[in-house]
Amino acid sequence: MVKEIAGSLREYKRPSIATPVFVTFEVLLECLIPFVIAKLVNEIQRGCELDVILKYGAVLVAMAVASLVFGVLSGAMCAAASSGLAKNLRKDMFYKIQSYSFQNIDKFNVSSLITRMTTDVTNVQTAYMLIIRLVIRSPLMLIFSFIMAFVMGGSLAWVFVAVVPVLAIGLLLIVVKTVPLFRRAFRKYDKLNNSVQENVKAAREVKSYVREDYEQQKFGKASHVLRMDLQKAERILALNQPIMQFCLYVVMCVVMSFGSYIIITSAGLELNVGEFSSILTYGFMMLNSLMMLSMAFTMIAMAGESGMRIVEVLTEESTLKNPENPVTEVKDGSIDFDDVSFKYSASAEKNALSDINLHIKSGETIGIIGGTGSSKSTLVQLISRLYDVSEGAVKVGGVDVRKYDMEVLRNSVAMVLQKNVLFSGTIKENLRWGDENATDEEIAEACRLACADEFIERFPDKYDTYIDQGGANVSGGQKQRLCIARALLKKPKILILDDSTSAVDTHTDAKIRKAFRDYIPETTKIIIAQRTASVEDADRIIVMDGGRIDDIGTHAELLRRNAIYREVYTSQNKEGHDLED
Amino acid sequence: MKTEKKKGVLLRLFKTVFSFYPVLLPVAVACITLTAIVGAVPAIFMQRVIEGITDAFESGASWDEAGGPIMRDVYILIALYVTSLATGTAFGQMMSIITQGTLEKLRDKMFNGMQKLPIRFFDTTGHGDIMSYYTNDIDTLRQLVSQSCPQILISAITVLSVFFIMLYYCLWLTLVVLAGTAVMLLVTKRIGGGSARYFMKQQQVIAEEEGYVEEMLVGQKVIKTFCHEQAAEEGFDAVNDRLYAASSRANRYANMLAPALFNIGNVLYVVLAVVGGIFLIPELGVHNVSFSGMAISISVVVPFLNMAKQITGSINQVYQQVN
Repeated sequence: MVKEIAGSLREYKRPSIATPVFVTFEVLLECLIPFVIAKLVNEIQRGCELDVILKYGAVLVAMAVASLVFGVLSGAMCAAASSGLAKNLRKDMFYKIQSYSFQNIDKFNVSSLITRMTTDVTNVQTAYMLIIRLVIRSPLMLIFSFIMAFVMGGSLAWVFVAVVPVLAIGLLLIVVKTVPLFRRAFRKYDKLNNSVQENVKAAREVKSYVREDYEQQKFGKASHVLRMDLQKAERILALNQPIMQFCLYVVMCVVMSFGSYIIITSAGLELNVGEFSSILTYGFMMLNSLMMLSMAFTMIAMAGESGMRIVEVLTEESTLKNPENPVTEVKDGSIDFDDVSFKYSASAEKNALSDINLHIKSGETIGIIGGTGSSKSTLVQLISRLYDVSEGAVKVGGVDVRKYDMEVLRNSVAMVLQKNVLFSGTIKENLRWGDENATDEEIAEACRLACADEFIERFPDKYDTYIDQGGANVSGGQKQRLCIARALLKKPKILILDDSTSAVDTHTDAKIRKAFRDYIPETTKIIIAQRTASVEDADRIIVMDGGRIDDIGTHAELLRRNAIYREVYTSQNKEGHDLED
Repeated sequence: MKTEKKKGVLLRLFKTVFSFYPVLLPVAVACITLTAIVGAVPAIFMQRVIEGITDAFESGASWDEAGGPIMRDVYILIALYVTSLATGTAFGQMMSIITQGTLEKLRDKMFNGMQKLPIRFFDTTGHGDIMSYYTNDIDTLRQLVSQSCPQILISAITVLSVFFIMLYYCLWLTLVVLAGTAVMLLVTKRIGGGSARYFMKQQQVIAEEEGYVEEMLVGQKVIKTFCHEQAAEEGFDAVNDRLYAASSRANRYANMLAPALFNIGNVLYVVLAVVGGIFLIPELGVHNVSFSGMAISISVVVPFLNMAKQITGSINQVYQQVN
């Protein structure tokens, strides 16, 4: 895990190394200050002159200023390094996700991916900050204070040799005991929150089935178990403070009694009042640094979980890959399905598509009709290789889609998806997704074909109208027509419309189809529709049922021989008739 | 206005916790008060011990003669420490129960209350907002009850006790410490204010980036069919770079504060030693003003150095919590 995360440091290695260097100087100065103070106290006790005191004062202030400078520098470096690591982690994750197939994305799901890119990265950032600053600082502080205590206190410093291990072991035990407890509790916490979320989402059902009491009991039980777990962990953690105090108190008492004994019996030769006072300062610095270290360890251990979740994203291999020596030209718009079967995941029980054999000539117009769940969308998504087949092969221009360079393939196959998405930006920016070098005239032309020009011209900002996130400020029909225009700009060999005119009135729908016939006759067109009216004039119509092809034929043929098609047709035309009445 | 609102919230929180634990909470507060006071008094014992040592030097007394009173003080200190350890440990245990118990009760209350709300509430309130009551708000509350409030209480008691002990010994040196404290508060306010501003900016950019990632991941199929991955990545880099700038600036400020406070503490320490030293020069003949009526001596100056450390340490602690 550490290796993968460290791999994202890159240009922030320098501040990562500079931080501990500055921290070392900072700690060194901090540890020298009490030493000089001890000397000053002794001078004062001996009754020195004013200028001696001021000289010491000047030296000490200079040391404090230098320590401040190093402190601020290490702080700045540390901020740059940790924010930089976070930046690169987010970047690497986002780039990786862009290479994911939909199987990969479905495995994590979108909201979990977002959490990993935000909360988890922030946790790792905080932990990294602690590592390069505190985890370096505390042991250094411990060692330097230890040395200084021995230099000044002589035999008195042995009390630290006794006390420091006691504290270290005590704190270590607490960390070892509490971290797994906290981890377990947090997992339960997540579960509890998930159940609340389900309850919020299903509030209507809970109410209509009068399940409130049951849900309350269930929640109460889970909430209590969580409380007991957390309480247990916190009670152990609460021992931190007393252990620390115990050690500090032992130091105080030993220094006060043995210290005065040594001073008086040695007449101030082995130990003096100045050293007596400073040794307590060192004691406090040592114990405090251990305390900080244990706090840091707990937080770093907690961040470990986040780190794992990040690494999972970074090391996930995309299930769709570009082949070696890919084919870089799509010859024409012919499509062949040879014995194709498909399931969404290897563990799925049922096939989404079974035994599909289909041959479409370049330039043909194909309609697809079928009920919901008949896998119409799944069928067409195999053409642009949004998913790979489980068995058989899909060929475009006579070549297996898995042999193409993915970008080449997708540039030849334009697809207007059922779930239309426009992105925040102007209309022009959105349309240029199809062709970033499109001229204004080409854009206007595509919009004319898609019958989008009429409403765009009515917007005050015309083609520069800003589209909100998710296309919230245009109507469903307008969105569909913009998406068609966007696809047309690609000048594709194959154009797929997946239920893309459902919100457009029948008159406009017919106008768009006529434009396709007149202006892009050599493009293969596949039109998935709910209304038979949208596919009536297609060369051939495919009827899908339960992931299989039920029938293929022209409108007239199917009307005569296919039950499903006839039923859809009559129900829609009867309805239409009723409405007109 | 804002601080008034905060005070109101704290008071309400205190009342709520008190209604859940009418016995345990006062006992816990008593325990922590005792622990904090005991933590502040060693300065007194130190003064007496150093006085004993310097007296022994002057009179040329041996350890057998001078040791008695010194050890008596140490024994009293040990007794105080044992009490403090007991109350401190008890406080920690009680606080864990109070914190987690309060959270459980609040969670249950919230959930049961939610069940009684009309459907309209769920339709009009964002699900994310509702969830945030259970996660972010409960977390903040835990922090407040288990860490911030006790820490602020301990620090307040320490500062107050130490302040009175200081006045007991020497008004002049107390004034020096007060001046140092004022400087620390000023610096805290300035740097703290700056860091808060940049952290807010950082939160804003985080939200922006989250929005961008969500938009892109939701529209991933469109991105793929239009081979727009590279453009999506470029757009991401732009937001991500801005987030880096905001985050590193916010943390730079925040990281500056600890060394700043620590070294102002060091300077204060130095100034005290110098001022104390000057007072001790007999030719200057400075008169001490104090409750104890004690003359200024090395046995007063040395504990002051330690007390100054205690006060600066407490301020540092409080800042960490308020942050």
